[in-house]
Amino acid sequence: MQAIRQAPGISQAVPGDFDSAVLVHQGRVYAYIARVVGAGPDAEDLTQEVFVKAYLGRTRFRGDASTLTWLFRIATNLIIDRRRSASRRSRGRVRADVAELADEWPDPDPGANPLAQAARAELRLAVRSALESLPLKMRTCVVLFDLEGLSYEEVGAIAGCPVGTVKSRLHHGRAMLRHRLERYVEGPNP
Amino acid sequence: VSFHLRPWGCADARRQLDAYVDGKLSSRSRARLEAHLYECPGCSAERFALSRTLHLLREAHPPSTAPAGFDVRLRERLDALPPRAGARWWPWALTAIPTAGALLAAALLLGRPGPLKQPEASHAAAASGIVAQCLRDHRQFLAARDADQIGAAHASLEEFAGWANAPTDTL
Repeated sequence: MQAIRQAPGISQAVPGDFDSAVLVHQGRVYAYIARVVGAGPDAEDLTQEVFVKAYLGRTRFRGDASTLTWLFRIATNLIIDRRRSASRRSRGRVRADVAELADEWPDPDPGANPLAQAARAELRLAVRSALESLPLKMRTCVVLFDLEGLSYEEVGAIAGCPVGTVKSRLHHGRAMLRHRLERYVEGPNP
Repeated sequence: VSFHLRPWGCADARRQLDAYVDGKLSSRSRARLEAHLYECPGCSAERFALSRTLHLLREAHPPSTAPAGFDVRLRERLDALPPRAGARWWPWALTAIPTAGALLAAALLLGRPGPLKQPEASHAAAASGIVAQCLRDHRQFLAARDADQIGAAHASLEEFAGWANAPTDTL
């Protein structure tokens, strides 16, 4: 395989070449996109687009944000653009069935009995469907903050909105998730 | 010094629940909220439901990696990009400005209508100085740019500088 060329532009802002500074984040970028639009060919295609755009725009990256935040912002803009151009697909593809989910993310406890595994798979499917049903901007904030572990400020920079808006979207997104997962949320304090 | 704080009501408490589970409350606000939760079963149930929702969300989305072979496919796609992909038009336009200026100045000093003639020594020296200054200014401007993008345009200016400094019998 031909070695990827050096990226002199990004080396001014990010230590190292494009490989070490940017491509190392491909797993996290893919995970973020997959959580927002659903895993599959669309997520892989969008992830590739993110890195192509990052490569082409590397000279514009000034290092005023972390490389990962920069990539997440490119990804978020691409997701929004994709939704505008193909609203049918961009609403989020709800997982086809439990078996597909199990192939993608195997059960963390494969030794458990099949009934328990099936119940866990069903729960995960319900949670992911609930997440994918959130409005896109709300879903983006929930994924970035609650799953990717970014700060309010970083989420605001990526989503292009003030911190107060991030908090509001988080509050309403979580409330909608709770409502849609009501039957799994019930019960006493753990 | 101790302060007597007004106890939080349910509305205050529920407004702060998100910040509480995110660990973003100050120690004072956290203490007030916890005091309310201790006494209010309704708000306590709300806090539990929020924490449980976030727990389910995280449990359903474990850390994941890109699909097998993704790295290879991505590198192949990036390697297939044309060499000048991403080049922008404006460095070229900016490159053309001093080049054109140098050529114009030299033409005014050296040139008269008609075929190229041997320049007078003073005019040739002045033109050479202008070109050299343009080159110096332009190199400073280009220092932070991608040399790959402007090499060809730069070469034409170098060529003209060489011509202006050349012995007159070669012109």
